[in-house]
Amino acid sequence: MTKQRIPILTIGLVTALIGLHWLVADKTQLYFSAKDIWEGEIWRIVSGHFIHADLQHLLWNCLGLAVLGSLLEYRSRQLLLAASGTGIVFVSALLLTPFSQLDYYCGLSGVLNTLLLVALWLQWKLTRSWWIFILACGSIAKVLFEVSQGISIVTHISWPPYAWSHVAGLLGGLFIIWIQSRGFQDKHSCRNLKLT
Amino acid sequence: MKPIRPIILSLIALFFTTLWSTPNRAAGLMTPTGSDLPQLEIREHHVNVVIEDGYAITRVEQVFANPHATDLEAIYSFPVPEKAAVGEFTYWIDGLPVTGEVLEKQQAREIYQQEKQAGRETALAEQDSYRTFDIAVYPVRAGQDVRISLTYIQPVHIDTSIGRYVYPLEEGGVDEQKLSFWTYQDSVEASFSFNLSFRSSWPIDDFRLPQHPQANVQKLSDGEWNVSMISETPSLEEGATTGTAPVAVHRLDKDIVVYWRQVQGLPGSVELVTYKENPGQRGTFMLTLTPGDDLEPITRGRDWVFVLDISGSMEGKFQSLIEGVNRGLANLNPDDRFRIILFNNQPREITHGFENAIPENVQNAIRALESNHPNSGTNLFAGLNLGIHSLDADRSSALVLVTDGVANLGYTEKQDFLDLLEQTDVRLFSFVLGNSANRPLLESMARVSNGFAINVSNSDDIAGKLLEATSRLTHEALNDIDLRIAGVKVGDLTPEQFGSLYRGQQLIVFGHYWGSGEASLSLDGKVSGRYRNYSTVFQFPEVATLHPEIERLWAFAKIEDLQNRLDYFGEDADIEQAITYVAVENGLVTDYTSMIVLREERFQELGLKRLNRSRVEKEQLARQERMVKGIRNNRVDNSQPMYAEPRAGHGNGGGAFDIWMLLVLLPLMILHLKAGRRDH
Repeated sequence: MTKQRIPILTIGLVTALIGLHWLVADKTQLYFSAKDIWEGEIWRIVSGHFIHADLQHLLWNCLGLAVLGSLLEYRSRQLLLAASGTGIVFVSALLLTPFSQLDYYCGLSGVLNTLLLVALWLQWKLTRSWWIFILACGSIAKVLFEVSQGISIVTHISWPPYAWSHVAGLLGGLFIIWIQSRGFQDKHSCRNLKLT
Repeated sequence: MKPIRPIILSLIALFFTTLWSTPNRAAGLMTPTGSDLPQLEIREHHVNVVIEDGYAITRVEQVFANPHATDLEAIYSFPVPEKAAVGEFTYWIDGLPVTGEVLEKQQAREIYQQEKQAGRETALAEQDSYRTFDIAVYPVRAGQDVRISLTYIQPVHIDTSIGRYVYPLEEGGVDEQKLSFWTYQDSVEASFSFNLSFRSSWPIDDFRLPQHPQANVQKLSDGEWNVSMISETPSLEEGATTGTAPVAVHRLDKDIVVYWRQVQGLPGSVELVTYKENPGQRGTFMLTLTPGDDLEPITRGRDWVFVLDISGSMEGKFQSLIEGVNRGLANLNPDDRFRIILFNNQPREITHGFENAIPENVQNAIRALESNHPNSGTNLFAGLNLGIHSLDADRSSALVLVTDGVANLGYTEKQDFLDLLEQTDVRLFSFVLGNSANRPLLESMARVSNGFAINVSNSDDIAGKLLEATSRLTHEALNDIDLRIAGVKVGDLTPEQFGSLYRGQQLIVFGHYWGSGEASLSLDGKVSGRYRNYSTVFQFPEVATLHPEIERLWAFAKIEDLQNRLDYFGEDADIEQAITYVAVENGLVTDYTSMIVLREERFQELGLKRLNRSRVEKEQLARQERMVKGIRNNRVDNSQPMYAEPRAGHGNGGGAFDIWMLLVLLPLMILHLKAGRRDH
C-alpha cells in the first residue's frame, strides 16, 4: 500500500489556483492567448489553465481538482504530474491551432478531463466495476452534448463555454492510458498501481 | 471551433448575406439632374476623429473648387451619422474661419436666401430627417475655392467589449424622389485623409478597419491607437503630368468602419464624465454602465418569425439572402420553430405555419424563398402585422425584421407601428441595413417591444456584427430597468425610458446635477421575472471643465426623448417648441433648427448673438487641454464595484466542471474508498 496519504501536490495545486485568482490583479497577462504565445509570452501556455474567469469557474474547478488530484496522487504523484502535464499539452495544442479560433482561454477544466479519464481507468483496473464504465460513458456523453450544443449544461461562467477543450483533455487522458497500457509507466507507479 | 447556437447562425447568415453589392449613391456635391449648371469639384476632404472619454468628435474639413467662369452655389449632402449632434459649422470667409449659429430652421433658411441674393458669403447646414445632412455654401467664386468644416459629437458604445465607429458616406438609395432629382459628385480630386486618434484607459488588444486594408493602424500604448489614411495627387516632382484631367484620389462612396476590441476579462464598471464650470452652477453628466456578464444563456426552444423585406431596393441582394437563409435554417435546433414572411407591396407567408427546423422543412422553405423576386414598394406595416398575428401565445417568440428601407405603402405613420407592437408581447429584433433606412422608426419599435435594433453598414465587418448579434440573442436580458441616483440632486435624466439591457450592451445616461459630493447609484431590473439589483457609490465633482461637449450630448439625448414623445402623442406645438429651444440653446442642428454662417459683421447687423461661437471656443480649448493631460480613467465604482463579474466579451472561452460532474466524482470517490479499504 502506498504511503502517500496526504495529497500534498493536489493541495498545492488547489492553493495555487485560489492564490492566482485572488492575488493577481491583472489576469489579462496570464490568459492563454495563442497570438501572445507566438509572440513570445510562453508562460501563458501553463498560466492560462490555472487562471479562472470568475468565482464560480474557480470553485467548480477547484472541487474537481481536489477530488481527481487526490485520487491520482493517492496512487502515484508522478502519474498526477504526468496526467496534468499531458492535459496541458493536449489542450494547449488545440488552442494553438487555427481550429480553436479563440483569442483567449482560461480555466483548468480541459486538464481536469484528462485527470478524470485517467482516474476512471485506474479505478477500472483496480475494481473492474461496471459502474466505472457507466461513469465514463456519462462523462463522454456530457462532453459530446456540450460540443454539439455549444453550452454548459448547468454551470454558467462569465466566459462562453468552450467544450472542445474538454475533448482535448479526454484525448490527453486516452494518451496516458495508452502509454500506461503499453508498459511505459515508471517502476514507482507500476508498483503503486499494481498493474503489472 | 466554438459552436454557435443554430438559430443564431440563421440570423447571422440572414442579415449578413443581405449586405448587397448593388451600386449605391454616395455622399457628395449635388447638382440638379438634367440642369445646365456646371459641376463643382471636391478638392479636399479631411476627416479627423478623436475618440476618448466615451464619445467621438468628428471634424470634417472640405475644400470645394469652382473651375468655371461663373459663381456657383455648392450643395453637399451626406448620410446622418448615428446619434450625431452637429454643433460646429465653419466657413472660411476672407481667409478667416467664421463659426455658425443655430436658428429656427425657417428663419435660417430665409436669412441664407437673403444673403445669397445680396451676393454675400453665407453657408447653411440643415438636417433632412433621418436621411441626410445637407450643406449649402454660397458663393464659390469663379476659379476659386471655398473651405468649410463641420464637427459632430456622438456617444461611443462598446458592445460585448467591441467598440465601433462609422464614418457614413454611402447613401442607401431608398429615397428615390431625391435620387432622381440630384446628380451626385463624390470624387475627391486633390487630397483625402482620414485620421482617428483613440485614447482609452481600458486596454485595447486589436484595432482594425476591415474594408480599408490600406489604413495605417498604429498602437502607441495599450489604450492609445492612431489610424491614418491619406491619398493625394502626386506633386510635379513625384511625376505628375500636367494638362491632364484630374483623377480622383478618393471616392466618398463607402462607409469607413473602425473596430476596436477591449482586452478580455475587464471588470464591469461605472464611468462618469462631467462638466460643471463653477461650484454654484448646474452640472451635466454622462454615466456609462458597462454591466458584468451575469445574464444566463437561453437553452429552451423558441419560435422565430422572420419578416424579410423583398422590396425593389433589395434587388441584387436576394440571391445572397437565399443562400444565407438556407445555411442558417439548415443549422437550426430541432426544438426551435420558424416561419418566414416576405413583404413588398403585400405580405405573404412562404412557410405553412410554424415548422420545426428539420431538414425537410428547411429545404421546402428555401425552395419557396427561391421562387420569389424582389420588386415593388415596402409595406412594412403589413409584413409586421402578419408576423405578429402568426405568433403562438404559448411559446417564447421573437420577431426578426430585416429591412433596408422606409415604409412607403400601407400604414406609414410611426404611431401605427408602435400601436401594433404594443398589442402583443413579442420582442422585435431589427437589422437595419444601410444608412438610409428609417432608423428612428425601427429603433422606436424595438424599444417599445423591449427588443433591439442593430444598424449594419454595407462596410461592416461580418465577423464583428455576427458576434454582436450572437451574444445578445443567446442570453436573457435585464428588463424593466429603473435607475436611481440619491445623495446629490439630479434631474433631466435621459433617456426617460431604459427598456431592456441585453448581454454586452452598455447603458448610457445623461443628466444634470446640482451641488457635489457622494451619490449612491442603484440599478434595478428583472431577469426572467426575478428581481435583480446593482448598486454603488461615487462622487460628483464640484468643478469639472474638461468635457464641455457633454452639454450638447445631453441636449441631443433630450431631443431624442422629446421626439419620441411627439411620436406617441402626435403633433404637439409645445413639444416642437421645446425641441427648438433645447437645440438653439445648445447649438444643435435638428429637424427644427439649422446652423447658418454669415459674414461676421452681418451677425451683428441682424442682431444674432454669438452663443455658439463662445461654446465652440470653449470646446476647442478643452480639447487642447485634454490632449495635454493624457488619458483619464473615468471609472467611479472602484471603491464599491457595481458588478461582481467581468464584462462580456467575445473570442474567449473557458469551461468548468459543474454539478453534473458530481454524479461522476462522488461514485468515483466511493469506489476509491472501497478499494482503499480492500488495500488495507
